[in-house]
Amino acid sequence: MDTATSADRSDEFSLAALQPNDGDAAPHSPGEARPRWPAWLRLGAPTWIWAGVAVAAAGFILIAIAWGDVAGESLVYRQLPYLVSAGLSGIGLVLVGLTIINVGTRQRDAIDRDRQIGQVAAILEELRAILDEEWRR
Amino acid sequence: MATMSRFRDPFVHAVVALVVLAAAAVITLALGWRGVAGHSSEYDELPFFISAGLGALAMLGFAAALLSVQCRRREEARYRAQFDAVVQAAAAILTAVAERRQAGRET
Repeated sequence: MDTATSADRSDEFSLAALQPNDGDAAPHSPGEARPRWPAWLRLGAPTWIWAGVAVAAAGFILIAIAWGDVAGESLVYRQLPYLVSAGLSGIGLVLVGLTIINVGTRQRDAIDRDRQIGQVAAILEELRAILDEEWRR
Repeated sequence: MATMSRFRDPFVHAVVALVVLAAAAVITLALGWRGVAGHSSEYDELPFFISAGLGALAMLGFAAALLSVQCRRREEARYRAQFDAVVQAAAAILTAVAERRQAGRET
């Protein structure tokens, strides 16, 4: 690393390090391969949160369908299949949707945290380079 | 004024909405119990069990889970704000060191 050059650019660097990146996407080092997925499909994208809400809503709709079908039958042995197929599946979909929401929000938070830690690490690295050069004199 | 600004907080809006949803789920459970208790045949009781029992359970779980997610995200936001202060302080130190170094070169 060219310490003199990097130290001369320290003001510029500190401003650049604090610039927010493109938000949803995780920062990538130059050597790292770019992900193949489009931005809206990457982990931490808001799409996942909305997908979770949609899956949970589908679960509620399934429960409503189960209620409608069961209410239309007067024999218990004909009601039970609706209970199992639509009712329990609806509960399952609600749980899956909640899990997707939970994982999606955690990923978003993790990306923000990584970005902040990356900023501090870059600033400290630059600071170390300046101090190294000072001590060498 | 402080109370009004607190009510403008989106977090408070979300918490109020989710608490209302949870309360509605509990009321639905009570209505389901009343419906099931008011009928003597299973085929009449089962629709109440599904609409009020499963439906309310799903609603209650949904509200509780989203409330938990909201609270965790608020804590994360608070943590990020504190960490941002650390980042700003580090950037200020870097700028000060660079300026002092530049001044030392010029003199």
